[in-house]
Amino acid sequence: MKPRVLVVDDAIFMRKMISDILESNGMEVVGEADTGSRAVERYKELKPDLVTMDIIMPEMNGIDAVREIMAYDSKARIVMCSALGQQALVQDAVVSGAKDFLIKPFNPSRVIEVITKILNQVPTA
Amino acid sequence: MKLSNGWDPELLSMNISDYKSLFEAEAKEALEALETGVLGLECGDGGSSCIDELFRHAHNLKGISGAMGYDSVVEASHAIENVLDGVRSGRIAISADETDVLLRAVDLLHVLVKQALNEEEDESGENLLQEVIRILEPSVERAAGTCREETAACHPGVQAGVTVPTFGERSVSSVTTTRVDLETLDRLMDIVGELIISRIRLGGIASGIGSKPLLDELVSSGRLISKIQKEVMETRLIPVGQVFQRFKRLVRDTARETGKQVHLEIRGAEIGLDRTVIESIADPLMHVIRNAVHHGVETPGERLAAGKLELATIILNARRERNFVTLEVSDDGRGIDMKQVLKLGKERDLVPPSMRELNEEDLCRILAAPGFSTSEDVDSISGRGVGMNIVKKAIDSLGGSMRIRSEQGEGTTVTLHLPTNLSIIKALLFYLGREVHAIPIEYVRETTRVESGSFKSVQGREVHATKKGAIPIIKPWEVFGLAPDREHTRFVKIIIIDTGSGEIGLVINHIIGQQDVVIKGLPVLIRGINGISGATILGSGEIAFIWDPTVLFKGRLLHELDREAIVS
Repeated sequence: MKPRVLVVDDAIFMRKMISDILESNGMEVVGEADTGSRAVERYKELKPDLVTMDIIMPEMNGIDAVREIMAYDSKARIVMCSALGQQALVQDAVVSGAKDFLIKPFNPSRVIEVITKILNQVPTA
Repeated sequence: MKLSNGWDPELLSMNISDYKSLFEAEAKEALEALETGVLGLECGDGGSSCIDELFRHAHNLKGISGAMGYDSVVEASHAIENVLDGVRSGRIAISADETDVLLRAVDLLHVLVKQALNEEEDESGENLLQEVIRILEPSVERAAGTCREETAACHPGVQAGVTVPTFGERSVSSVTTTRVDLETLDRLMDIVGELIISRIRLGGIASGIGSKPLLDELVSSGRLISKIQKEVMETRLIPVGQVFQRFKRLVRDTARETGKQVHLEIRGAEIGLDRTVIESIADPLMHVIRNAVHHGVETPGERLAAGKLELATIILNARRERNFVTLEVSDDGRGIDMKQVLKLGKERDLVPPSMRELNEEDLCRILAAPGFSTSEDVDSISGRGVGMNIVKKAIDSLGGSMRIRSEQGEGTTVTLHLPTNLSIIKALLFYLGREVHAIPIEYVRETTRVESGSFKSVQGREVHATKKGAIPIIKPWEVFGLAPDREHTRFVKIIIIDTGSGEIGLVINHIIGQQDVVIKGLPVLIRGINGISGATILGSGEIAFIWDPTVLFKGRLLHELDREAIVS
């Protein structure tokens, strides 16, 4: 079965790019969200295998969304996606439970490498 | 084809042009939001223009341009992001100077994005980027905290203490909307136009047959077509706020240049106008607003002396009334000096010498008269007039109307009344030879019947004498090089046309009447014919050309003196 992914980013451009990378590598994008709070809703609704999470978003930022999702499902697998300049926040996210991070602009093979690695990890929590 | 950052989208089954248009749309949104947001910062506006929002837009622009490999856009937006970060953390206080710098940087960013999209990233792009970095440098240093102790000391002129709204009050965006290409909307509108025409033709056939069930069914299909026409027209409406926003900047800059204090208040930003109307209205509105700041509003000193607040207010208001939208620009400035305008009106023979008081209509006519616009006298006495001629012309060509009301010492209000769409208009149809032609109804003054042979001659040209003066007579078949309409009757019909710069009388023997027509653009081969703005398809299937009298009869007007020579 194809891994099911939820893509979270407030830019349509980024959502399309990430979805294209994932789908052309045998993954299924089951949902998208453009704010942190919608990401939390969609997570509960879809129970995806993995979430790609932007940090700077309206309404609720990616860090808070990670916290809420982890509180709901401690086994959630979330990869942070962020442009340069947000290193401090990426650290916050990892402390909050994110499994890894990708820096924009994306290198597609690096994206796939990181995501495959995480999907293959045995859930620890 | 590869993206400029080096990886090959084909391997990932991507369509690069999809990315480009997505980038273009989102970059445009981000740039607009940045400009609005920066202006909002200066006024201490809260709501959606808070600093987090601004930061997010700069950050997003950086992200997506990085993905496209547009490096100079990345660097420039990164520099702006740094400054915004400084504002957010309180290390930079927002002042008018700081706003100037940020706005200038956003302007440059605009150009960089455009260059990147046109793939012309060259030396000038590099220079632009250096310019952004240079102008932002002092701010970036403050943001980094190198001058933390005394912000005001390293930046004279800073007005400290503008509270910048942070997290919290934000508009919640909804995903119940979708993006549609504007071209798709144009095509939809075309199809609706075809539908209406086809419905008119069906009606003709049905009445020929005389079948009642068929006619009944046509009535209900007609109703459905009107509904879909209405829906499509609604979809094409763009909130006027999109145009209004840029005037905040205009007012701010003009006021700063002229040493005045002006607040622009926007009302009815959500009111929708067809995008073609919006595009044509931006410039005229800009004229009116600039006039209001330049000439309407007094200097702070003058205002104080007149017992007013130093801060002047210009209200830009939009209202919708059925198929029309009213745009109003009112200022609380000095108002128009009616006596002076009346005097000038008399000097230029625009009103009769006996006139004592100006009514609204005459005021508008005098101010919008050609030649009035550039006169320096008008600027200093009336505080208005610059470009009013241009404004009036633009509004007329949209099928709208303009009114000016003014109270001395209290202020001036310019009202523009516009149709919400331009694709379906009312026109006067008539025969020229065997062909049907149309003139948009707003150009038609009147139709009248005169005795043939009553025309007089001025400098060898036929004119029709009226109480107001002579109107040159034009025989349209001569204009188009057709065989003359030989009708030896006692009377001929003339349509009196207001070309905007004078009246003319067209000799037309068969006037059909008024009708709603759907304007179709001309095919490429015959586009650009002077004086023909488009065509329409009639119920009979015939094609009628739509005339543009402002162009068609240029150079056929009478000179002032000739006109006065003959008064009936």
